Amino acid sequence: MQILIVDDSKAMRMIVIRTLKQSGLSGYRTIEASNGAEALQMIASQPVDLVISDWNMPEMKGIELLKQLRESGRKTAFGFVTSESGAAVREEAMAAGAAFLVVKPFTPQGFEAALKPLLQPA
Amino acid sequence: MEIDQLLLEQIAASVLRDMLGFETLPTSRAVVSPGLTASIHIFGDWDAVLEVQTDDAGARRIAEQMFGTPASDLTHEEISDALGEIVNMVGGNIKGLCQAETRLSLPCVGPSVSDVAPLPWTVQSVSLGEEVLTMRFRENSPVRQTAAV
Repeated sequence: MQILIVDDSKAMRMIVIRTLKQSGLSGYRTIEASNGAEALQMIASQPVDLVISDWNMPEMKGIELLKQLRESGRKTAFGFVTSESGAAVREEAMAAGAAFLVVKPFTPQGFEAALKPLLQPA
Repeated sequence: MEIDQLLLEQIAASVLRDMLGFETLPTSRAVVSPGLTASIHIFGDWDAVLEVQTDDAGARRIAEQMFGTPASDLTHEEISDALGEIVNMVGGNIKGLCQAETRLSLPCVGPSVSDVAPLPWTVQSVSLGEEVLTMRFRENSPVRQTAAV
């Protein structure tokens, strides 16, 4: 399984990767993109099973990335890791097809609960 | 909506503990030497600004912990990025406390400068051992009430 982590902050991409390891999840490898446009290019050029994206990014926001993916017919599993914690943001994310929205600050346990259903073999 | 010193301290403590493993304590010490300031804007039906300020040693310590790398191996951009994430997370949590329809700007990080005029900031510092992190919050306009229809 390949997980694409999308965040304009390199620091946050590293924290997400570290937290994935700490959460005890296994059987995946990670690749990174720094914005939505770069993520779309990567998804078009290689297999991606899960996208973990920030919400607020320059150039293309995470929600726009998710909407463009769905409009193109891709059903790639998608979740947000974001500081945006309001109910309206959560509703918009779920309506667009997100599987989860994890709010920062997060813990390995919170990550495991959100991602485990998506990482279990079919 | 009132964001007081206790709330600022609690949110900062949660972010710094959960994300970076820091145990913080509230302190009356202030950031004294020049360093970095990260700011973020909450806008929409509520308008507010949050700044997080620390000295160079504090910024390096946060970045070291965030990247898991000695500060000597980090660029200035990476150190700024780390402080930007702190203000992003603290600001996001403050935004989440408000029921109004609001958005969060992208964080902005730059050298610390002195205020040109005293403004009504709510200020709270926390210590990370030797280093100090100061949060400054200001409400620019109160929550806008939407008329029921």
